[in-house]
Amino acid sequence: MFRFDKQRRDEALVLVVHGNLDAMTAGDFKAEVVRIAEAKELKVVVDAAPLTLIDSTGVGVLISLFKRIRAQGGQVYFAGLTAQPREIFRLLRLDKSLDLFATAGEAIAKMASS
Amino acid sequence: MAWLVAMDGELIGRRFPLDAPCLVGRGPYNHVVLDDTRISRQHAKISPEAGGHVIYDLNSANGTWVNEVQVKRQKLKPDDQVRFGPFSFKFEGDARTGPHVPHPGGKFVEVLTSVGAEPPGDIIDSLDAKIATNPGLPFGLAEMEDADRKLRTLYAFMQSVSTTLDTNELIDRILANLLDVFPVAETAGVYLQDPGTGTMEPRKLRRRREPSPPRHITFSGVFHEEVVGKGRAILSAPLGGKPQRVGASGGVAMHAPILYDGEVHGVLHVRGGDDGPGPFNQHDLDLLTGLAAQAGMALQNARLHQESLLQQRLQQDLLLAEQIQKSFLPRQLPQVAGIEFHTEYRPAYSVGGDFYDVFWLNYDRLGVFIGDVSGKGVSAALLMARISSDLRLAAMAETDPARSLGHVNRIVLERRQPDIFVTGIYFTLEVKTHKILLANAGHLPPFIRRAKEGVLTRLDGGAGTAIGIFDDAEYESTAFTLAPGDTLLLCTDGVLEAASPSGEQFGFDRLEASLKAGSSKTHELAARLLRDVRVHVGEAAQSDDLTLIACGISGGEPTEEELESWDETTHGRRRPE
Repeated sequence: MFRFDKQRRDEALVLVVHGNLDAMTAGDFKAEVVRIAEAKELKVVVDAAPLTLIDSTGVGVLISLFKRIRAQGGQVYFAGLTAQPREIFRLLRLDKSLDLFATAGEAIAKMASS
Repeated sequence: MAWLVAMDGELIGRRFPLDAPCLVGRGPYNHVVLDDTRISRQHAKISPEAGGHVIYDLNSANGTWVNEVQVKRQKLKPDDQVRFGPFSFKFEGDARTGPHVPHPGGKFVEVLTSVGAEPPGDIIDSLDAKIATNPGLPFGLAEMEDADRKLRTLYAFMQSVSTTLDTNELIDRILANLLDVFPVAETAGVYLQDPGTGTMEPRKLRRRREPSPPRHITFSGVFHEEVVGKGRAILSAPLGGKPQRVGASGGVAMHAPILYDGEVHGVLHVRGGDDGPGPFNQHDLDLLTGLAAQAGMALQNARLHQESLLQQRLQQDLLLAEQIQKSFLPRQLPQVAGIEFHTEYRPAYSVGGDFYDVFWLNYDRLGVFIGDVSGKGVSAALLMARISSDLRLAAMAETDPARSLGHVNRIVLERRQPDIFVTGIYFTLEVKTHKILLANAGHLPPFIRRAKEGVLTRLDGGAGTAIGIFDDAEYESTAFTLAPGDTLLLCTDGVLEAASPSGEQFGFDRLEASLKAGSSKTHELAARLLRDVRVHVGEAAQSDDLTLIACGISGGEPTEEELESWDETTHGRRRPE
């Protein structure tokens, strides 16, 4: 299963993603990503520590979040990737170009200082 | 007890009871439905009357025949042969033939029998006779008028609901009709079964007097048991007392099951005002039951229609996408002496996001691409098809594979499809020297099986980011040469992630074992690997697209004459100037 919650920490919107983000489960989250972009959020942290599995559709949704926020001059940081999701990010070479942090706390601190 | 017994056709042997008026015709509301164009919608009626059973022809086009004599109105004798168009029946008489007394615990079908029995054109004729000669008949004037009203209501309802195939529109019409039909009703509602959970969910509730907010209608426990569990219509007493079946009066609310395919798929509900005695009686319940049966047919039609439309659209989409996608896969691989290709393309669904291409770049250089679009199905397939042409253009424009991929990345980003990205490997191969330049855009690394000692290496060089994510993505090419007997293997996730019935993935270790044990002949090596994957997967369903390209060197090199002679069979190849 997959679920997500939203938290407001300082100026950043923190999206905590839990469970398996794949073609079967990504639907609601995809719609949420569109809403977040339409709300003109500029500082978004994705806390992926509780994320256990991700497939290409799931990566697509996270990438779409990244691209949409960036397109309006904002920033998206990814935090807490472990295990399979981390491997996928590495395989896709996303680790080279995305801002990855060990914990959501670090990402939020960096977001606040930038 | 008297019966009408079918003597031929599909109905042969079926016995229709004649203890109540029995309608024969093509329309679905008849008791005996004869689905044939030679039968009129409402063809004939057989009524139990004081002196025995009487058959009436209802102005049918092809007539009603008793013992091969055409009749308009005829008293039936035991063993009379009755024929409507091509359908023959036998009338089985009974000494105790008499009028029907509806029994109070009747199921809806029987209730409907007494509701739908009298066609409107027939009533006035038979009315006088019955009342005049049979004062003891259970149908008095009030009941006859009531039956007439019901029947007309049913017809009007059927016409209203049968002209739409949209479920929401249908529900609106049903509710509007219910409030019309029952002037004392304050609330009308439709419950439909949720196909996922199987529970009855209120679909819509309508109150006569807006804007008072709709109150949640309770529908639970014993009501549920009677209506949904047993398929019975119920009149219920005030104050949520025990439900009463047909026969009671003074009901404050009614529930009738919506049936189709013999199952309860929904419930029609009507409720009176909160004050005063309950306004509904048995006749109202009969009527609601008949309306629910019509509603069931209409809802089923709407559902079937929507399903078939959706199905058709999906099928067409898939077919189109499949054709487009197939047209972008190379029909024939370039044939070059000394070089062997083995390709495999197995989408998990009829279309996939995987893709490969092998094409001539110029006189002595081939381009080879394998790719995987994020997501699955039609949209992924269509994007893949476009990227294939982008890649060919970029490959012609740039000799360095890294620059070609950079080009494709820019094109894909310009299309602004934010949730799509592509992984892929593109390499060029010089057909005489077997030199390779390879760039990887976030794809599973390729493997090289060296003929020498069967060593397998994973090629991590030339790796860059997946296509379609970053404007500033940079790619790099890595160079190497294949020796005779070497095979370069490119594949998509579908190979490593092919799962066994217990969920275990094929994985790198099995891949390595298969390739090491394999032949230095590319076809045999690839065939063995695919067989090993198939054995591993066994009966499990393929969940991911599986694509593989093996490119091996069998030794020797093409002569100038050979290169010249392949022009006709290869496309995209440029002649040497």
